[in-house]
Amino acid sequence: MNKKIISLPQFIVLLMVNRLVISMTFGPSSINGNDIWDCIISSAVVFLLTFFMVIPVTILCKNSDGSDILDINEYTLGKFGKIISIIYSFYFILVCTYTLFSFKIFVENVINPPISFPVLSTTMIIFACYASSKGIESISRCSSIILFFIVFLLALIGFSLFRVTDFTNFKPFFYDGYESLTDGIIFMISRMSCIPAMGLLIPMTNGNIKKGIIFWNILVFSLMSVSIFLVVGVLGDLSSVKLFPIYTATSVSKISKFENLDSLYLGLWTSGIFIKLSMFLNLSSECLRKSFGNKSNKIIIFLLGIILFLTNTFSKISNSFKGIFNVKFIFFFTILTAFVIPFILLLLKKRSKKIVRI
Amino acid sequence: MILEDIKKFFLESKKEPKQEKKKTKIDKSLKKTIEFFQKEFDEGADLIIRQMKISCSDAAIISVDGMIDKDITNDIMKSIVNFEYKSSNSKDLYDEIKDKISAFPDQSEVFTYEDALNMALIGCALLVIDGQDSIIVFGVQGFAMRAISEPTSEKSQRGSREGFNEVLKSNMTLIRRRIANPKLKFEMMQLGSTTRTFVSICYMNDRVEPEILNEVRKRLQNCDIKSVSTSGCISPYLEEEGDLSLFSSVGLSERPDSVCGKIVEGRIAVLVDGSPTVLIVPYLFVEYFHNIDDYAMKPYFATLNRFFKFLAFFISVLLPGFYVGFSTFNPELIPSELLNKISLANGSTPFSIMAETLLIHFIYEIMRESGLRLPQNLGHAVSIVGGLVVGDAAVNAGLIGAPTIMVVALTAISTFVIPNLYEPISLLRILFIIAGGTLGIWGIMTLFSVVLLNLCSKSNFGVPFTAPISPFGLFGMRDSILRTSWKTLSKNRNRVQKMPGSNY
Repeated sequence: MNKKIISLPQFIVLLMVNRLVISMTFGPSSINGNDIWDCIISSAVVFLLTFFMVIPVTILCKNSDGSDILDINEYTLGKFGKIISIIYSFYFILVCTYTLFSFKIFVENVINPPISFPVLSTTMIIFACYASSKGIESISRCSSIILFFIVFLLALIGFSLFRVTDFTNFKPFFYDGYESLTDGIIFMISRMSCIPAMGLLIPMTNGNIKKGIIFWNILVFSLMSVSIFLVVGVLGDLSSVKLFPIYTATSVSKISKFENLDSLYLGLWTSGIFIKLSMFLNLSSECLRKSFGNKSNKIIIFLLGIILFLTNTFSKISNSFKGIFNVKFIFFFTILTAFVIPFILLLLKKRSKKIVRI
Repeated sequence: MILEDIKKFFLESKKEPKQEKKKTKIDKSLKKTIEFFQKEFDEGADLIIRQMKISCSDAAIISVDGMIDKDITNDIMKSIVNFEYKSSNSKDLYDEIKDKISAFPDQSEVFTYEDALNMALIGCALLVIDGQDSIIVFGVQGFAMRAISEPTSEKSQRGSREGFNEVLKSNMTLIRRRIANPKLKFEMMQLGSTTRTFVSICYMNDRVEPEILNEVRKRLQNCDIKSVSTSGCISPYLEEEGDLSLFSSVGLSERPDSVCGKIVEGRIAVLVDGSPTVLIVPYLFVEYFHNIDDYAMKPYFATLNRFFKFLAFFISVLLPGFYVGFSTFNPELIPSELLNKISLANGSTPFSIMAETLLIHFIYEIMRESGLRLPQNLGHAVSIVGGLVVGDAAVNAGLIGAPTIMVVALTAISTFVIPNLYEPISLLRILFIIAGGTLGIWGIMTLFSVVLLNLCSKSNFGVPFTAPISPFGLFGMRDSILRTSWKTLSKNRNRVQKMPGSNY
C-alpha cells in the first residue's frame, strides 16, 4: 500500500521534467540521420499511441487500492513477481545510464568545456543519490520549481527564435520518404520511460489520473512539435547535420544584449537531468527494496549509485558496452515494461478475480 | 570492538531516563526550614532571611536579594506585623494572615521545599511560620530590566515601536495586550537541568492544531539541555530529528505584533525567560521574506517589495557564483562590452577570478564580524577602513579587479534585505563560488538543484517548509509571494496547518 503523497499537478510536473530532458537531446542521430521535420508527424502518431500504451498501467494501478505495479506483481505472480521487479529496477537504472550517456556525448562532443566530465558526472551521481534518498515527494516538489524556471527560459528562447524563423526552410512532409516517420516513432516510444514509472507513481498520486495523463500527453506532444518547428525554421537544412539541433538553435537566440542563451539552457537542462536521475534512482531502489525485503533504502540507493558510476565510467572505456545504448535495445525494454508486463498482469488480475467469483 | 565503541559514541546518546525528583514536605519547625535554605544557598550572599515574631509565633521572611520589589515587600510586612491578631495558636495565625491580612493578588501556598526554593529563585517572598507545614508565597518580583524599545534587528516604518525584552512576564503581557481573547493560552515549563529557565508556550486554543501543540510540548519536555541562556539554545530541539539543512524551520522575532500575527494564524510561539527573541513554529520559507510593514502598505507595493526581497535573495546567493562561472567558463553569455571591461580589470590581477572573489568575501566577512562586535563608533571606523581604504587600495594596487569588488558589494547589500537568512546565505554563496569556479554553470545548477531539493524535502511538524510555493496552493499564495488586500485576507484566515501538503 502506498500513501497518496503527491498531488496530480506534481505527478504531471515530474513526468514533464523527465520528458523534457529527453526531448532536448532529440536530433538526426536519434533517427538514423533522417530529416527531423517529418518527426512532427511522428510525434502526432506517438501522441495517439501513448494513449493506447498507458491503458494497461492506468487500469492496473487505478483500481488497486494504493498498490503499485510491484505489489500487484507479487500478488499475482508470487515469487516470479520478484523477477519482474528486478526487470523494472534494471530498466530504471538503464534510463539513468542512458541519460548520463547522452549528457556525456553532449558535453564532450558539442561544447567541449574546459571542465572534467568525470568530475561533473560523479558530482551529479552523488547529488542524485542524496536526492533520491529524500523520496519522491521531495523530488516532485523540487521539480515543480525547476520546471517553472525551465518553462520561463524556454518561453524566452522560443520567443527569440520565433522572430528569426524563416518559413522558406519548411519542406513538404515526407519529401525524402517515410523512413524518418518510423524512426521518429521508434525513437520517441523508446524514450517513454515515464509510462513504466507511472506504474509506481499512480498509486502515490492524489487526483484524477486520467485527466493528468491526457494533459501531460498534450503538453509533451505540443512541446515536441513546437521544438521541431522552431529548430527547422531557424536552422533549415543545418538541423539535419547537427548532433543536437535544439541546442544549436538555442545558441543563436538572443535577448537584447544577451546572446548565446544556450548556456542558460544547458544549466536548466542539468537541473532536469538531476531530477530525472534522482527520480529513476529512487524508483529503481524501490523495486529492489520490494524484491529483496525491506532493506534500508539508503544502502540500496548507495549501491545503485556505485553501479551508475561504474556504468558511466565503463561506457567510456568499452565500445562493446555502448550496445546497450542502441535505440532498439531500449525500445524493447520500454515496450516490455510500459505495455507488455502491465497488460499481462491486467489479464491475470482479471482472471484471478473471475476465479474468486466462481 | 573499536567499531562498537565508535558506534556507541556517535550514535547512542547518553540519555539517562528522566526520574521525577521526590519532593520533600516542609517541616513544621521554622529552624529546619531556615537550615534548608541556608544549606541550599551554601551561605550565599544574596539569600535574605528576616526573622521576626508575629503575635505569639516565630516567623521569617525569606527572599533573594535583587529579585524582589522592596517597597511592596515592606508594605506587606508592615501590614502583617502591625495587625492585631485574635488567634492564639500558629495554625489560626497562619489562616488569619493568609485569608484576612495580606489581601495580595499574587499570593499562593507551597507545601514542599523544592517548590518553595523555586519560588524564592524567581523572586517571590516566602513567609514561614513556625509550627506550619506550608509556606505563604508573595509574588513580589521586582528587578531592574531593559525598557521596552524598538528591536534594532527588525525595524519598522509603520508598525509598533515595541519590542520584546528579556523578562518573560513582560513579554507575555505584550502578547496578551494585543490579543485580548481568552482563547490565548500560555503554558509554563522549566527547561535546563542547571539553569531551570522558565519557558512559555503561547498559542490560541481554537486555532492551533492539537497534534502540533502536543509535538511541541513533547519536544520541549524531552529536551535534555543543561543550560538555557537564550532561545537559540532550544531552537534545535524544535527542528525535525536529523535535520542537517542550512535553513531553519523555526522562526525568530523580537516584535510582539509579528508574533501575534503568527499566533492568530495557528502557530505556536515559544518565549524564553532572559531572551528577547521569540521562537515561532511551524515556520515557512516564504516567511523569511515577510515584514510587518508589508501589512501596513498597499497590497501592490507590498507584493513588489516581496518580489524585490526574493530577487535580493537570489542575487546574494547566486550572483558571485554566476560571475565566477560565466567569466571562467561561459564568457559568451556576458554582453561583449561588459566582458571587455571585466577582462581588462581582471587581466592584470595576480589571482584567478574564483580566488579573487573568495578572498574579497573572506575579507568582507571578517570586517563584518569585527564591525558587529565593536562599539558603534569604532564599527563605523572599521566600515570606512574596510570599504574605502582596503577596497580602493586593493583595486589601485592591482590586486583585485574592480568588477569583483562591485559584485561582492552588491551581494553584501542584497543580503541585508533578508537579515534572518544571513547565515545560510553567506555559506551558500561560498559554495556557489566554488561550484562556479570549478564546474561552471553545470556546477552552479547542480548545486542549485540540490539546495532546492534540500529545501523542498524539509518539513517541520508535518507542514512542508516550501509551502505554498511547492506544494503549490493558490489560497496560500495570497499571503506568501503575493500580498493581497486586507479585505481578501480577512475573509478567510490562512492557517499554517492548512497549507498544501501538510499532514492535517
